[in-house]
Amino acid sequence: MLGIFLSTAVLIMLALLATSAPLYRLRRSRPMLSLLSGGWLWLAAGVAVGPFGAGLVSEDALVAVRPFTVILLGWIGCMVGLQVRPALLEVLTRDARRTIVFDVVSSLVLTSAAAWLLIEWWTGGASPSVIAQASLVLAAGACGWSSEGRSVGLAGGAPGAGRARRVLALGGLVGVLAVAIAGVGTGFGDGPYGKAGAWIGSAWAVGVSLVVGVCAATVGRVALRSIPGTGGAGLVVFIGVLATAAGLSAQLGVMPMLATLICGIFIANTGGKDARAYERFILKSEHLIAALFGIVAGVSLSLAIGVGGVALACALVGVRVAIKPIVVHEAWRFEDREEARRGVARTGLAVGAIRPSSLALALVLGLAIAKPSDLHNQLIGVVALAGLLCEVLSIVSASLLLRERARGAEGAP
Amino acid sequence: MSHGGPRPTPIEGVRLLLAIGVLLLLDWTAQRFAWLSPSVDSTQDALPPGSAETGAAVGLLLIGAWMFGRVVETIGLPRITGYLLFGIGVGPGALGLVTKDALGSVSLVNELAIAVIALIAGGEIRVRELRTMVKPIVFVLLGVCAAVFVFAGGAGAIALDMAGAVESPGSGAHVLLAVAVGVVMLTNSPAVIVALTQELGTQTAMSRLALAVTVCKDIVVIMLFAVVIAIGAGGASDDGSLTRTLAGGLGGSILAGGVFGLALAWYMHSVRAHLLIVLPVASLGIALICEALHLETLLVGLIAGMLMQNVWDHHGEAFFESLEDLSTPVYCVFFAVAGAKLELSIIGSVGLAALVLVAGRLAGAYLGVTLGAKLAGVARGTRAWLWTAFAPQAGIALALALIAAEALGEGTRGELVFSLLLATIAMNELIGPPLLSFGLKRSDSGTMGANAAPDEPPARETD
Repeated sequence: MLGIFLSTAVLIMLALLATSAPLYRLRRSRPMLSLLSGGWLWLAAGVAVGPFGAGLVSEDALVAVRPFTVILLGWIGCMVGLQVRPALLEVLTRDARRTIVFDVVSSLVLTSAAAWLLIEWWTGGASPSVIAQASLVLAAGACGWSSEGRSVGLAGGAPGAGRARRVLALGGLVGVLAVAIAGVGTGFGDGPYGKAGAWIGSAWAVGVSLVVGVCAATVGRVALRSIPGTGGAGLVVFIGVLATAAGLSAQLGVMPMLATLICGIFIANTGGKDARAYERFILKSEHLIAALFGIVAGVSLSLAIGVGGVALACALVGVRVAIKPIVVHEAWRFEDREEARRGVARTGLAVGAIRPSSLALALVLGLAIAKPSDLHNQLIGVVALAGLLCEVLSIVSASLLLRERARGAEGAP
Repeated sequence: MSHGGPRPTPIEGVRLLLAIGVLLLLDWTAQRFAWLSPSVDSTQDALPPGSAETGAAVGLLLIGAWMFGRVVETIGLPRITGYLLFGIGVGPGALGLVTKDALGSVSLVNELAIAVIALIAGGEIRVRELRTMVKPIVFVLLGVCAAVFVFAGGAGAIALDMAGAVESPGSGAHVLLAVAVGVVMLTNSPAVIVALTQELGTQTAMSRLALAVTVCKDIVVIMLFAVVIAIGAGGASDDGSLTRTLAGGLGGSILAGGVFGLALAWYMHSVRAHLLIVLPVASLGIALICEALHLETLLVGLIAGMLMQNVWDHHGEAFFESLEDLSTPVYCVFFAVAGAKLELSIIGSVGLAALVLVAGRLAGAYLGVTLGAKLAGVARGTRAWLWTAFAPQAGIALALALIAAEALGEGTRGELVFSLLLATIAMNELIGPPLLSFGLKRSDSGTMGANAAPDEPPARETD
C-alpha cells in the first residue's frame, strides 16, 4: 500500500512541478521549448518513473490507481462536453461546420484505412474486432488539431493571427465528435455476434453511455440544486457524478469518456446557473488535471512497439501532413477569401494544424482502460511517438518558413 | 460557520429521494445486466477482483450518501446517520450494490479519512483555550474512564455469558475478557464529534471539551489496551519491552506529527497551490507512513493539526478551510463504507447481549461524565448533555475489537467475542450520532471552567 502511495505521490509531485510558475515561464521563452507544454514533458516524466523507466510506479500500482485514471478520463470527457452549449454552437458559421465535417471525414477515412492495414501487419493475426477498434480510436484521435499557436508563429501580433487562432479553436470543437467516434469505435465488433452483428457492440456502447450519462447528469442536477453553498458539497457532487458515469461505463467495458461527454453536454444545456458553477469547478484544476493525465499516460504506455509500431506512428504523421494543411486552407478560405490570397498567417496555421490534439492520447488511454491489453498499451506509445514527431515537424517547419519570410521582407525594396 | 447550510425542505427531500432512486436503479441495472455487455468478461478477466467496480462504487458512495444525508436532515437526523444508513443499504449485507471486493479497494479512502479527521481535530484544539480547560478535562476524563470501565466491564461480563463466549463463568479468563471488553467500550469516535460540530456549524463549550477529552482518552485507551492484551497473551515481561514499545510508539507519533506539521507549514508558506489535491495526498501519506512505522495515525495527524493551528497559525486559515472542503467527501465515503461493512446478521445473533453492553456503556458514560463535570465546575448547560458525546463509536473501537479477536486466536470463542463487540459498536454507531446531535443542540454554547457559573441555567440553544 505504501509503495502504491509513494508511486501516486511521485505522480502528483511531478504534476505540481509541471504547473509551477517558473516552468510556465520557461515554456514561453522559445518556440522549441513549447515541447515542454501540451503534455509532452509530463508524458516523458511518466515514462521516466514508469515500468519502462526507473520503475518507481509499478504495474501493480497502475492497476490499483485504475479507478483514479477512470475518473481522470471522465473529467476530460466532461470538460469537452461542457463546451457544447447553444450559445457557442450558434456562433459557428456554415463554413466552419463544413470545415469540421471535412476534417472529420478525411481524417477518419484515411487514418482508419492506414491504421487497419498496418495493425493487421504488425500484430499478424489479431482479430478483426481488435483491429477495427484500434483503427477507429486512432482515426478519432486524428480528428482536429492542437489549439496552441504561439510556437508556430501565431502570436497575437502576427497579421491575421486572430483569424488563425479562431480556426485553431475549431480543432477543439472537433474533439466532441472525436470522443463520440472513439466511444462508438471501442465497442465495434465486440462479442460473439459475428460479422453480421459487428455494430451490436457499438450500439451497446452508445446505449450504455447515453443511459449512464443522462442518468448521472440528472442526479447531478438535482444534487447541484440542493448544495447549500459550500465548496465541499460541490466537490462531492462533482466527483460523485464523474465517478458514477465513468466508473459504470468502465465496469461495462465501455470507454468512460463517452458517458461523461454526454453528461457534460446534458448539464451544459439544462443546468442553467448550476451548470456554470459546475463548469467553474471543473476548470479550476484544468492545468493540474492535464499534467496528471500526461503523467498517467506516460506511465501506462508501452515502449516495446517494434518496427510495426514505428511504421504505424509514421503513417499517422504522414496522414496528418497530407490532409491537415488542406483542411486549414479550406477553413481559411471560408473565413476570409480576400485575406486567403495574402496567406499571411496561413503558413503558420497550416503547419500548426499538423500537431494532434492532446485528446488523441486520452482516447487511446480510454481504449486501454475499457479493454485492458498489451496492444492498447503499445498504441498509447504509438500515438505519443506520432504526436511528438508532428510537434517537432511543425515547429521546425514554422521556424524555417518564418525565417524565410523575414529574409524575403528584408530583401524587398 | 455552518458547514451544512439550511435544512432542506420536504419537497427538496422528496426530489433527492427520487434522484437516489435513479442512482440505485442505474447501479442495480448495471450489475444485474452486466452479462449482456459484449466485452465485460474480457475486461474483468484482465483486472483483480473488485477493481472494475471500484470507480462506480466510489461514485455511488459519494453522491448517494451525500444526498441521503440531506434527506435524513429533513427529519432532524444528523447527516452522518444518513451516510451510515446509505452504506448499510447499498452494502454487501443488503442491496449488495457495493461488493466486498469493491469495499476492499476503497480502503485507501478510509486510511485517508482517519488522517483528515485527525488533522481537523488537531485544528479544533486551541492551546490557549485548552489551558483554561485543564481541570474539566482531567475530571471528565477520570470520571468517564472509571465509570464506563466499571459499568461496561460489568455489562460485558454478563453479555459474554449471554453470548456463550466463556466456558466457565466467573473464571480468571472470564474476568480478563470482561476487562478487555470494558477497555474497548471506553473508546468513542472523535470523527463523529468533529463531523457533527462542522455539520451543525457550532463550536460550543461542550464540543470543545468533548473533543479534548476524547483525544486524551484515546491515548490512554490505546496504552491501556496494549497492556491488557499483553497480560492476556502472557507477554508482559519484566524487561520493559512493553514500556519501550509504548513509549516508542507515542514518542515516534509525536515526533512524526511534528515533522508532518513542519512539512505542511512549509508547503503553505512556499507553494500554497492546489490544496484540494495536495491535502488528500498528504493525509494519505500520513496514514500509510504511520501504518508502515507502527505509529498512531490519529495522534500524528492531531499533533500536525495542532501545530498548524497554534504554532504556524498565519498559514492555518487557508489550510483548515481547504481541509473543511475536503472533509465533506471524506465523511461521505468514510461513514458510508463503515455502514457498508456492518453485518446486520451479526446484530441478530448476539443482539440481546450487545444491547446489555450498550446499556451498561451508556449508563457509565452518563454517570462518569456528569459526576466528573460537576466536580470540575462545568456549567449545567454543558454538563447536562456532555455524556452524549461519548456514545458514538467507530474506527478505533473496531480496530481494538479486531486486535482482541486476533489475540484470542481462531475458533468459536474469538469469533463470538468479535461478533459481540461488532454488534455493540454497530449499535453505538447507529444511535450515537443522533444522540450527540440532540445533545449538541440542547447544550449551552457558553464558556466553562472557573469563570463559569457552576449551576447556571441552560443558555440559548445553538441552532
